[in-house]
Amino acid sequence: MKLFAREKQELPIADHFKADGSRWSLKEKLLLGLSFDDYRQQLLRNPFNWLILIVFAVGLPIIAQRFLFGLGSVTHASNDYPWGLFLAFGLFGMVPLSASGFMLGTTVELFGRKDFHPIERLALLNGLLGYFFAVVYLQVDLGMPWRLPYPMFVSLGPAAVLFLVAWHVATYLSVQVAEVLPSFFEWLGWLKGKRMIRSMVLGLTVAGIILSTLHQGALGALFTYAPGKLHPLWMSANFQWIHFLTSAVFGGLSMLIVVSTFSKWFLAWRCDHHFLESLDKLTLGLAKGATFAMITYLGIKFIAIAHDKEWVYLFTGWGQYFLLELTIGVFIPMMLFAFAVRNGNARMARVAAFIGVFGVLWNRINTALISFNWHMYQEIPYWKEAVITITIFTLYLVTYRFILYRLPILYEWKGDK
Amino acid sequence: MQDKKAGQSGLVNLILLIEITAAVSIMLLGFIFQAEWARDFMIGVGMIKPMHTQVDYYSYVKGIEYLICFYFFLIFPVFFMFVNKREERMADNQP
Repeated sequence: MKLFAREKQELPIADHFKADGSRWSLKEKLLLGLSFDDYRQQLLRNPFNWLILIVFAVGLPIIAQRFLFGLGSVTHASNDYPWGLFLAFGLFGMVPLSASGFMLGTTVELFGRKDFHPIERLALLNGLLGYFFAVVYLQVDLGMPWRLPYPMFVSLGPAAVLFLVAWHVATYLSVQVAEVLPSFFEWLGWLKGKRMIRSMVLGLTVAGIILSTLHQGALGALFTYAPGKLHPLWMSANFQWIHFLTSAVFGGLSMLIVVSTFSKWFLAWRCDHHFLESLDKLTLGLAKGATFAMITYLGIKFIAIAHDKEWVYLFTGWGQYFLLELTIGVFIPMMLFAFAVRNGNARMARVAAFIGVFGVLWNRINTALISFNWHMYQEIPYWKEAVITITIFTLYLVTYRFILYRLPILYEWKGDK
Repeated sequence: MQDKKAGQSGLVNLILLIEITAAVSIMLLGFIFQAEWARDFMIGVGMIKPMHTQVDYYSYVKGIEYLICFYFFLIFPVFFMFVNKREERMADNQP
């Protein structure tokens, strides 16, 4: 696509009108201003698309198998291990990485830090897609998606944490759709819709904070259902919710740095100069937030160990693994973020962000899968489970790219706004 | 002159980074290889000891948790100043 963007002056589309003054049709906007043949050519020319095709060719039949023959045909799920990679990676991992939406919404709309405006929409989109695909993973795990309304409306369980989580996800997802809609309306040229959403933006941001913080904590609280099954170092009945909340803060910020870095590397043709020029400064701003969240997380983590009197576990193999997770996943990125901010080194902040994202995912997989049933046998996920997880993640990437190519997320719409 | 100063500052930061990483690595290695000194330290300060009553537990929890909180409230402002040092330098350079 960047070849076309270099050759044709009117590409990429950032306005309702072509160079000759006529208006872009919806079909032309969807095809990025290219003819159908050109669009197909640019799809086939990109080697990444061939990789995606291979993943879908292998993964989609296995997903069909899951829905036709049940969860047992594609996973090692049992009464001992009721969940596997779908929830450990897809739900518990993706949700904290999607915390960027409410944090940047708060920063820009409530705290008035308008200097973060160029990256706000990317943060909101990252939040929306992360949550949406977490729900997709959940649906693949639960099966029978047409029965989703039952726990929501028909058979309520208001005393259950799962009920809380389900309603939080549903309402917060709606809030995030509304928060991303203005860019869709700009692209569509329906300004009335945009004005309507903009008039509600303060309420949506406040709702986002309430729902997201409660939800991140509630995911941690979910583990209080099985206190005896989790290893004590990863389970703290009193502190689990705050572990999940504080780690989501730096997880979301790190993920936003990672996504913006990928955008800079692979979608530079779609970014406007305002985004590209301010990105290093914004990255350092996000890094500063992340490093303070990380030191707070470490402090709370040690208080939880003290409160639950778990020092003795540190001298076991599990304790070594726990400390390794904290050192590689939290301490090293924290120091790298701190030095990056101090020296104004955005590249170091990006390295730290990649490690930070890995650290949060590692923590969630450790909590939900590896330290789960620690005194019993360890479950090794079935290969089909891994393939389905990769396939859905690829679908997430394709959707992400589809939206970034088109909507004014990485650039400002030049026409009527 | 400014380049030289920036170079020196970079070197100091690098040394600081290596020192902190080395300190944490020693602690980590101490636990990973289950060093006797780490266990002795925890037993010595009462972090690892048998508890028989709730009073034992509360005495322990109030001591150790308050100490961790106290150190956190000391470390956090120092860390905050360390991270924000660059902005102060930039502000000083402004005319």
